[in-house]
Amino acid sequence: MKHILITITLFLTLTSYSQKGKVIYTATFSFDSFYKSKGESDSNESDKDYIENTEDIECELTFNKNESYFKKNDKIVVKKSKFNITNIKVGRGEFYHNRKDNETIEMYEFFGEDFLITKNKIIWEFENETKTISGYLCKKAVTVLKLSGRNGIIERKVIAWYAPKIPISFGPKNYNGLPGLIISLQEGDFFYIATKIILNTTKDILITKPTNGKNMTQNEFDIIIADFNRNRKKYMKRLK
Amino acid sequence: MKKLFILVAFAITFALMSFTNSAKKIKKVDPLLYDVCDEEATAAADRWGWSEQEEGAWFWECIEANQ
Repeated sequence: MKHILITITLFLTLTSYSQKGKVIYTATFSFDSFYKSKGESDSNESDKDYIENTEDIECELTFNKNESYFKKNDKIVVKKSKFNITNIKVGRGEFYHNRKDNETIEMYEFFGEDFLITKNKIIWEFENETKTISGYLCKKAVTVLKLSGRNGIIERKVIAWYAPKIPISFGPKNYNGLPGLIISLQEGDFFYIATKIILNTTKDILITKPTNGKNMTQNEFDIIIADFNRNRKKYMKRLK
Repeated sequence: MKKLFILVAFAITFALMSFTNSAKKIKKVDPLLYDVCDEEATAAADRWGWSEQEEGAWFWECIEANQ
């Protein structure tokens, strides 16, 4: 009887605390990881500006029972610099996710236009490896991103460490759908780590689906942005 | 299949056209700044292995940081 009561209490605690909350992630670009993956022993002179200007960025994920919202922390001033690789990697977009519909939309402002990009679904592969991160026992899941790049398709390995004890299927950017909160995530040489987890906040968290912008798929947006990147001069000439 | 292809081509052309038209909201960019950012964005994309979206973001950060 005692065991049953403990189990019920634990179940209720887990399900109730996971209804709403906030997670702060720190985003970091690792030059060491980059050089290692490139087989370069050390930085070269042309990277100097990037090394000097790349800074960590704080991001926040808010969530309720079915939806989440991910963006850079408004309260922290991010240095405006083309050389801050972390800023480029985090991106200019904000992310809305609906767990029930399994839909993620990136709100992206580009060239004076607002876009609502429906992100491609992520297919995770589960691995047996475990690791304790920030006091949470985490399990590993991986996926490979296929992104359009200047020289063709870029494959980027993504490793997520999620905590099954926190039954929230959300995470940074469009990385969702795991059976536990993502505590740490590696996307190539770029890392997110949860530095603050606030569960079961007293304040209600209202998240609304974005509607302001042009709807399109990631593939459609890639065509637009590739056209922009190849013909920037043409676009610039049209500005008044 | 042919109809579908025409529809997709039309949708992409329309999206590109409307994107170009809406770009009028942005202020004219100094040609010198454009040349610098264009060249550096291409080089940075090659160096850091960026996606199209990341390269576009870099170019735009460059313009905004210097305007």
